[in-house]
Amino acid sequence: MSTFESIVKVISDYREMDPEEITLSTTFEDLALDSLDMTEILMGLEDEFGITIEPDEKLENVEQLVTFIDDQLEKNA
Amino acid sequence: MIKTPICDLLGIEYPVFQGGMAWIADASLAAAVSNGGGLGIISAMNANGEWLRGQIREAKKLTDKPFGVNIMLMSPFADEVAKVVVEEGVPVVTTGAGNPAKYMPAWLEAGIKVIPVIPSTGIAKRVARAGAAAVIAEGGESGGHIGELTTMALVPQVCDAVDIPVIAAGGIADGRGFAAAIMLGAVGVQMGTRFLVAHECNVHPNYKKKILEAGDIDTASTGRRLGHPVRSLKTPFTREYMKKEYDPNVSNEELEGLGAGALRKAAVEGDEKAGCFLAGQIASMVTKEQPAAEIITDVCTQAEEILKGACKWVR
Repeated sequence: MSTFESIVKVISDYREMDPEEITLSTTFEDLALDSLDMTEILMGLEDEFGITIEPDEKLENVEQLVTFIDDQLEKNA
Repeated sequence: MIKTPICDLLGIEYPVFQGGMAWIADASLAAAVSNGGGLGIISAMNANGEWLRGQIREAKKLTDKPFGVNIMLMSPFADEVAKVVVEEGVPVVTTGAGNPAKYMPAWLEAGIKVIPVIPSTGIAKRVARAGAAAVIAEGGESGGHIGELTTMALVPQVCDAVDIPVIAAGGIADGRGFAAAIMLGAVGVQMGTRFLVAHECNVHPNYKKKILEAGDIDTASTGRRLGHPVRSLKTPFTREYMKKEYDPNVSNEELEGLGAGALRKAAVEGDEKAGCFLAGQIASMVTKEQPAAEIITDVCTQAEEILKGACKWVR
């Protein structure tokens, strides 16, 4: 499963929504995810990828999250 | 005498923290609370490093007891003040409005006890993992920026979620709230509104008067639409704000603009029309000005009596 697909799975499970509705350009504001929701989602992704995910900057959309996680995976490899 | 693990951890006599209220919690109040045996906390709010340094040095002249600094992580000066607390040897840092993870390594290396204010179990777990010494679980009864859960719901769940000490905050005005916090699993309490009327608090007299005159339904939460709700006393400012908040023709930018500077107007100028008077739901239980030390002993003495009598209904 690619990073994008894993993110879609975690978010769509959390929001109980159709995964097809989530694209790279989907923003977290579109999904009505506040900072508390983002904490839960990041923790779900940590379990999924087995790494710690602590973004310094606020991530606005799915594409930024994919890039951030890919960078972390590369650092941890 | 109430003694819990947080007393030994921080070197304080009573497990009572004073909230790091922006524009209110300065060196004078923090030192008075620390001298009274609690943990006084200076609010770094949105001020720069040199302002904070001045406050820390002032507090050190007024007390030799431990005190803390609250860092508002959304401040444009967060990086700067994060360094100042290390340089000035501040023993305790509390944080709010964000994730303190990036500052933790430097703070832990400096021996600082980091105690984030948290609104959920998820955030509690993350900060515990990053090395927090304790957490302050603050429910929506509090004044200022509020989370979704009440103190009653949040505190026991956070106690279940982490192994580090939990301080309860939000809706605590006296010994009853303190005793209740202990029953929920906390080992201490943080109070904001109650300390606002301390003699040593330099907030404008109008602010103190409004707290002392407040009734139980006199606070409201505004700003939910912007994603960061705030609890304050109902005033012309909040009424105006709420009208615009519910008006879809008013943009988020305009709403943000309405709020800018409103707390300062309340705390420094006592502006009863345009000021935003942050206060918790227990404001109506705060009925007299007292020295900070007396507030601490009143709350702890009452809590002790209640806890000793807590089994009276058990047959």
